[in-house]
Amino acid sequence: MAEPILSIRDLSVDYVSADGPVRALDHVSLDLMPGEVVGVAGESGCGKSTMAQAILRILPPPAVISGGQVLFEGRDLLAMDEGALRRMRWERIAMVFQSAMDALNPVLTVGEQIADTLRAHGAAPSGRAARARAAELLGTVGIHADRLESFPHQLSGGMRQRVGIAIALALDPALVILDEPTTALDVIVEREILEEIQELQRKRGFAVMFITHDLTRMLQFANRVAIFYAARLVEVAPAGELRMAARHPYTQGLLRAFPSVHGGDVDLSSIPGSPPSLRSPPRGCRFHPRCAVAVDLCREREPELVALGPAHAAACHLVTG
Amino acid sequence: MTAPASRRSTGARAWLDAIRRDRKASVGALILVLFALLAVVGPLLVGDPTALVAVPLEPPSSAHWLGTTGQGQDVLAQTVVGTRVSLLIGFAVGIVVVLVGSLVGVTAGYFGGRVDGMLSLLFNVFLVIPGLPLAIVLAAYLPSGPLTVAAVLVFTGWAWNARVVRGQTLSLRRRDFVLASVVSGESSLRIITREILPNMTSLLVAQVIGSSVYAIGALVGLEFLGLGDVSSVTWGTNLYWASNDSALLTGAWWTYVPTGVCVALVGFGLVMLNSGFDEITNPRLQMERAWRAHLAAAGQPASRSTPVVVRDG
Amino acid sequence: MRFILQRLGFYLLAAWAALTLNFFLPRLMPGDPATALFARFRGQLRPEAMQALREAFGLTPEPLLGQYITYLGHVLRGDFGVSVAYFPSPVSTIIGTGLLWTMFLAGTAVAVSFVLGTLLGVAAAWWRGGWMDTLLPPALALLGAFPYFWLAMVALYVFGFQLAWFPLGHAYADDLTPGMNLPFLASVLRHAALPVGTVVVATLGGWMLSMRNTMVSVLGSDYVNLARAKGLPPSRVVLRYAARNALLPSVTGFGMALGFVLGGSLLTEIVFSYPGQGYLLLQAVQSQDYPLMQGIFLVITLAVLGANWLVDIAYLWLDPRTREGS
Repeated sequence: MAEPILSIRDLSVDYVSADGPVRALDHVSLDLMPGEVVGVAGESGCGKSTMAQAILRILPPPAVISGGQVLFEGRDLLAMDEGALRRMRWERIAMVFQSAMDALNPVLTVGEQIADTLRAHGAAPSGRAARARAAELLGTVGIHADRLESFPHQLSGGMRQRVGIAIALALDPALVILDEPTTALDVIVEREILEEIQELQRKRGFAVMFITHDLTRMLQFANRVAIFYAARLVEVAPAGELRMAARHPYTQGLLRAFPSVHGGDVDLSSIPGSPPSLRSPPRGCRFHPRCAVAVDLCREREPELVALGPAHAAACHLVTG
Repeated sequence: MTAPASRRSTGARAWLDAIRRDRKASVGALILVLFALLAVVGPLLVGDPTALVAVPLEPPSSAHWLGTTGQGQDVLAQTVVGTRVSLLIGFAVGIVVVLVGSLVGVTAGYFGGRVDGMLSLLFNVFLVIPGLPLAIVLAAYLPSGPLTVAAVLVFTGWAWNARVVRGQTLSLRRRDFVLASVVSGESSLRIITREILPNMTSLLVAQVIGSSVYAIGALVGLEFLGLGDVSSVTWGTNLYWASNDSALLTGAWWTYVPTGVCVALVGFGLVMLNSGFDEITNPRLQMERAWRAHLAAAGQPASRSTPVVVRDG
Repeated sequence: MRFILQRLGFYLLAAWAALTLNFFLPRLMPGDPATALFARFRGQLRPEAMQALREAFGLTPEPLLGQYITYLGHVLRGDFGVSVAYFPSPVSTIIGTGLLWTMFLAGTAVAVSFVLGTLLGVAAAWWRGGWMDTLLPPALALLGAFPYFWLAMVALYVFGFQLAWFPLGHAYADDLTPGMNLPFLASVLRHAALPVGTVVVATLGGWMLSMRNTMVSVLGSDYVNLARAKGLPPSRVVLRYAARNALLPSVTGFGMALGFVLGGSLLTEIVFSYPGQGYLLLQAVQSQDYPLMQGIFLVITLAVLGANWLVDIAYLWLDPRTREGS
């Protein structure tokens, strides 16, 4: 079996507040193979976006990484100095942000924002070459080159997100992290863009970490899916296996909540209650207050991730391999 | 539905504790308390500031710690006595400026539409007309006296507060608890006084502090030009006389340095108090402070990339 | 274009408001404004002169509206009346000589202070928690708390009298002929150094603090985060992404601060006997030369409004989002 391109081991992230640190990501381990599409799902605040930004180490204060390793192509990103990190960013790992409206600089043109990425990494010998390459990149996401001179506010939401994708692909990265890339868009544009990304991924073969709270889309796109709950990884399995045989009660609830046909609004009513506060998570399994099948043990001890098959694992006292 | 305003229940005591814990706020508060004491009891401890006690322009000595003015008055007595009137007018103007500004700002922000359009236009016009020249012309026309100066300063200074309070009202107006009160048919006056203003308390306190800085500075400036009552003893008139008596040409620095230092210390105290309040009430600053402390405890620099601080191995 | 015209409309309205205010000012005085206004000069001025003054102010027996129209007509033709102290010189002539000096002094001071303060703010935000961020702001706040004119007095005493590094007053040495020659320009700069310096020192802290605070919030924005993720060099992230955006609110503030800084600059002129509007204003106040005072107020207001409009145009250039519809 090939070496994973990205190997997250025991990664923990804290948000420091005046009342002490709050753990937003708790001992998470996850591998990505080259060219693999891994989906990461969970309710908002479960730690999925925190993990994405922690990988690139761009989480702003008051976040600190409190432990673990992020091995990328064998090197630990958490042990790198600023210079090495800067080269690693975008040349090897790129990211599409949640809201392209907020992620694009409002005072620079689209062309400038693509070109400066190329120039910063020496990927274009001259300003002219950078512009030509930027035009080409816009072309790959279906935007005409005359949009190079446009400012972000002059583009539609879908176009802005396409620009975000073009920027992500600028340096031919080995891994692209998609951090809920379509939440701000309407359903039709969302589907178009996801299909485009899928096609680009097939053509270029980069690995993808696809973060979303929309399980249905993810199951269509991802090879493997990881489910997060309250800062922890609770289940990971190949997409097909997860759909047919999810083992964690939370995953099962999520699957019931997202009908396989696109049927309007998300309905989480099959899981009563809401995720716990990370400031004071419940004792034992963090899901037990919402779990229909919880037993005494769930209230006492926190479950470990247990292997249930070659690529399937879940953290629940009620499942055994 | 009740407004989440009632932070007042924590009381003045909580505020005092918070001030004590914040370095800037304590420095500011300490300076202001000292000057308040000086204004209240100071005049009782020094002699008549207008009495001609010695030879004019005598440098500081054991008899006259801060020397004498161009007319032979005691500079220390003048500075101390000047504190009372200057601070009284300054803070009074600061408070009235915020009252007027808030009234206009809340009205504009709450009622919106045409009312907002007219009032916003009014304060925006006042904001671009340079205040000091207008104040000078106004003060020159009106009969001189402390009330005139105070009125002129309110007239030229209210617009900024109106603008800030309007913005804050607009955002509160859209909040659920206000909308609920509007729907339940409560009177506008009640909503403004019970729901909106209480939720702006910390903003209004900051505005009073900021306006007092403006008022004291402008007051001293107008009096320096001779537009106050030049026969009274205030910080501004002290500087007016120092300049009139050619203190500069004779090198009599002691006639204007003490007053200037007092003005600056009061202004500095107010600014520190305000930025201290900001540190106390701004959750973002609080968080960042905690973050820095967390890194410092681990002996880590605050790196640009997310720092790695391993505590639990 | 629409934005520019909209702003122009607003400034015209503000100018009209200032004109109207100016018209009503003399009428604030108790009793007959004309009598009160020129009481000091009764007997000194010939009746024809008195009549000219009354007309310039619109203080005629006409009804108020008629007076107002007469007054507007005079002002629009640039006729602000006749100075009482410098009789019979027209106010416009007297103001004209000092206006350039005032604009030079205040303009230089505000520009230097804005640029320097903004750069310091960027630096403080970039090196969060460093000495520039922790020690400099309170130090500058203390300096900014002194009255401008008081700082000017101290600067004059220390650097003018004691050290004799700079001249004691006026805009240039008496023995030079004004013109585009090197000795004259050098003299102008030497004379402007202290007044400009005091205003800069007094206002630096404000610009620094406002830029720093905006920088801090912009540095937490998604687009700065993306710039970092893109692996751009730190200097580029700070300047082209963070500072370039953080500048926008500061520029808006710049327009608003103009009038305020100008006020302080006028007082500073007085201390340095600088031949600008401030010095004139003081003389007008001391000799109760109301026509001159009002003329100065109007001209200064118009200058500030014009400068504000230029700032709006600069803003348009800086923020592409306001360019829509042009």
